[in-house]
Amino acid sequence: MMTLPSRYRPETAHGFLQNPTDGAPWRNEALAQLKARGIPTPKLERWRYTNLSAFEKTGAVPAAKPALSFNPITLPWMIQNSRKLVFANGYLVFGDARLTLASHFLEVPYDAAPMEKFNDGMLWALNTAFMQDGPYLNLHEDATVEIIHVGLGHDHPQLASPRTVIEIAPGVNATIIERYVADGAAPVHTNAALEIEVAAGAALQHVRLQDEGYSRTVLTSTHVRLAKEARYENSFLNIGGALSRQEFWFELLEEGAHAGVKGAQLMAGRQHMDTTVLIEHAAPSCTSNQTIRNVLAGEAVGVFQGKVHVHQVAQKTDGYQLCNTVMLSDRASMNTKPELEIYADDVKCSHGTTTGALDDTPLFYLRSRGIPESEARRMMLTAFIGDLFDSLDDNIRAALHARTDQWLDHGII
Amino acid sequence: MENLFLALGLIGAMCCVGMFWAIEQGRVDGSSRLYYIVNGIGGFLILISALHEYDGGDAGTVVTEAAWVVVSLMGIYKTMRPKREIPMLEINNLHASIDGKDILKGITLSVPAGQVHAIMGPNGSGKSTLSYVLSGREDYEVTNGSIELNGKSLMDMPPEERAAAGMFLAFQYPIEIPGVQTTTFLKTALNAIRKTRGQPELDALSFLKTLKSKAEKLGVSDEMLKRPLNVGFSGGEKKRMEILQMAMLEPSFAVLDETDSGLDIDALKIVSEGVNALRGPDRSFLVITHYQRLLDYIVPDVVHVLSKGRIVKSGGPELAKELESTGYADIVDAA
Repeated sequence: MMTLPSRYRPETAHGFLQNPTDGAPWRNEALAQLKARGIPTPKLERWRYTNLSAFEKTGAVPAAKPALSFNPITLPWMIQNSRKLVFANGYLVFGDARLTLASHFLEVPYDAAPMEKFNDGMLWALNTAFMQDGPYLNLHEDATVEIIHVGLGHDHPQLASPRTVIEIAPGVNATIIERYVADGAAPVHTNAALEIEVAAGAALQHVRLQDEGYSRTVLTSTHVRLAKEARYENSFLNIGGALSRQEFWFELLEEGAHAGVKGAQLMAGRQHMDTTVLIEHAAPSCTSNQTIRNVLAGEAVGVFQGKVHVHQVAQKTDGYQLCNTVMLSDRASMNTKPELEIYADDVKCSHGTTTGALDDTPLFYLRSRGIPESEARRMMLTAFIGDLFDSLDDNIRAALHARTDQWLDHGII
Repeated sequence: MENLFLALGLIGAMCCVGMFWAIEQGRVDGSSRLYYIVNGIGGFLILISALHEYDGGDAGTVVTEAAWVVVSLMGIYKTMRPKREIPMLEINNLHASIDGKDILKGITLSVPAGQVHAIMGPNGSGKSTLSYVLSGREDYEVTNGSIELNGKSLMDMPPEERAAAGMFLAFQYPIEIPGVQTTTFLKTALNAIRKTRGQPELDALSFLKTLKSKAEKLGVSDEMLKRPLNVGFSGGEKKRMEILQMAMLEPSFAVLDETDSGLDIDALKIVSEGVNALRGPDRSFLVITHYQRLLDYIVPDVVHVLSKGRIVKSGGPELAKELESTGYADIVDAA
């Protein structure tokens, strides 16, 4: 059995565990799970390419609630009239009165399913054991909600554990923008868990911009359950964090549901970024789409693991997966693992991956027209990432493109 | 009156001494026209001054100054003359290889300003390699020889500098660039070239005006200009876009690589008219083609036949017609 990092043993941990304010039984339950299994290590199949030992060594303790030292209105919001929430170190510090909030939160039963499913749900357990506030959004009308997470603090490493619960009522069309922003260099790490349920005929567009500080660890686990004809689309842009991993687990539970995840991971220096997706087609006539683009500079390490699991009942499944990677440096490395596990016989599943330097021929074409090499490379990278966000609302797309441009301007190439 | 001639002599002397000083300081080039002109004027003034003083005695000064004037005139003539005589493109004994395989084996070719030369040849003769080597594609290694455009060597220039120096390649297979809007691309390219040439960037309005009028002539619609570059364009549309790029960038030397391939007769006419409209005394073309058909529309001054990396025959436009009827085999075998 693996030993637990000492910080996460109940007897030595700080904050919640020394003085449990709620005494909820599920905290101890989660801690027991965590204690039994430890933090995931590369010995586990789904963790082969991502090693959390650097995160463990930070010795982060559960984060304390900070005072918000600035006006939340000055944060980089994308939509003017959205419903806004701000979480600092995992605690609600600013919220729109139209939303149901944290008080409901503790009544949400602990979802142990990921743990049982993969034998590697320790991050879920870690979040459950230490969870602070988090948005509980039960949307019965069309709405756009923006959630910004900031990490504030001092020199001592802290771990924020926000738990997000989202329920979209039947027929509702919602957009949720989830943004992690860097504010100062304080070592505030994040281990977030999101539980999302989309009811029959409802649609959720989920946008995630992970723009954390370059010294931080950012871990997210997202579990989405979809009912009949429900649609879930995720569009993400990952730029920040020293070590980041986002896990998606989609369950297509009833006929005609659709789950999609489209996004880009842009990394440089010694950043490590991991996107791991599992899509379970558990009903007939469901569709899924994964479109992932990676750009790696410096000595960055990228990971994409995408698995489509088609259950025997899931006839007429249409599953699509594509992962393209551009390597700007010889010292960067990319690990791609597409997986298909199919038990039904009438399905359409495709996957493809490409990894390589920028293509010489278009580069030469642009340069032969007088465009300098650096500018030509930039144009090609902008184009490589660009169309991912075409289906989004204008303001959101503009914000994501602006952030991409800024990244490219930063002398990455 | 005496003082006037003395003053002329002094001014002449100052011209010559001044030029001597300037050349010592590296401010002028010993072969520049300025040097010859100022020295010549100086010598001429001293000559007048000396002639005025001439009493049959000091013949040496007069002869020396007369010699100065003659030398200066020769110098001026020499610096003006090459302008007319250096060909626009001069390729000398060009050898090039890719992946260690020799493709071009000693091409020598010069294209004077204002002329259109055609390169014809069978598949695999090195036609496309020549076009890539001229425009600076890095996959090809030039193992020997030289390329000069307007008297400047292109050998150490990357593709973008060659473009700024006046080189343009119309691609046989224009590349699709998804995500880059055609108008944006054209503006970026034009301004990049202007910047390298030290010209101010064009403002958006005058750029669009120029683009619109040129696009119209080539039958390039506004809708095409809004689409990503070449994406979803038909073969003909792609070729017209190449010619539009050429019209916008105004190169001094354009290489057309199999521009006729994949074109039906109507598209061929539009493209040829576009090229012919750009012909002029300050622009030369190298038209690479497999078939004679294109040369009915873009009539060349000289036709060269390329085979196995060498030019094996050159002649007038009639050579293309001859090839069309006899095929390449005869000429290639004879060579």
